[in-house]
Amino acid sequence: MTWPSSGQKKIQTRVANIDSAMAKIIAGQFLYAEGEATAIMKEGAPWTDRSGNARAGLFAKASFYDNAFELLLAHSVYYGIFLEVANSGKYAIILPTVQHMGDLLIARMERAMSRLEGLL
Amino acid sequence: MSRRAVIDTLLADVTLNSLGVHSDSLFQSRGLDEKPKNQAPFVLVDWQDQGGNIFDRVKPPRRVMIWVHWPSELSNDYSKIDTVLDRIENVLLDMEHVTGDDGYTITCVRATGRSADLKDEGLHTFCRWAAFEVLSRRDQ
Repeated sequence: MTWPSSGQKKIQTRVANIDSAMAKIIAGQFLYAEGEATAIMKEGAPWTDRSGNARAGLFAKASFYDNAFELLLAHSVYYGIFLEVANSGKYAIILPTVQHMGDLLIARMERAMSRLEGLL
Repeated sequence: MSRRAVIDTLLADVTLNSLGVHSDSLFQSRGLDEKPKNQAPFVLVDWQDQGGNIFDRVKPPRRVMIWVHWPSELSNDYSKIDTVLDRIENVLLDMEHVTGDDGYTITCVRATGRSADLKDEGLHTFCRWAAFEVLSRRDQ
């Protein structure tokens, strides 16, 4: 059995489009998560502000490399590591947010992929 | 939530006891305000959120972070901390279908990673943590 060449081309195009659509979905989710993670950290940081610099300096940045997607969460102040570790993580905000955002991103991408499957 | 099974299993382990883990040195808390009075290594069990449902259908496991602290004045040898963490990991990963006094049964435990070598400037200790996911059920 052979595939009609026009049909094969169509399938190849659609498969290529899935990759591209998927990459756009993931990139969109990560870009949306950037602002969301920053807001969650600033709002949820469990310490009492003195200068306010630590809270103001929390940020998230999405990056894309080929097929890899990354959401970086970080402090801007030099004592950020103190806040993350001191008193056994009493003031930690980065790791709890990483876990929270990880769950959110997975759930959203799963829903987006289901919708994409429905369109194909 | 299966706290009891985890804590009781850790406290009952003879090897961990010999490494200094017993009821006076094992705490359940999100952080500590001050170092415990006993001058020995201590362990902190930090129960975290349950996480989102996996694919909207499967019940998620509960995250737990276990910190091992060693007072700076006693030692800065992280291999001692590693020994305790290795044993804790072995004990927890062996837990399957273990029922606790609180009515929860642990289905299984999964290790999800360890921290780098850390220094706790608040408690004046050298420390590391190991993260686990605990899947449990409440038997009717």
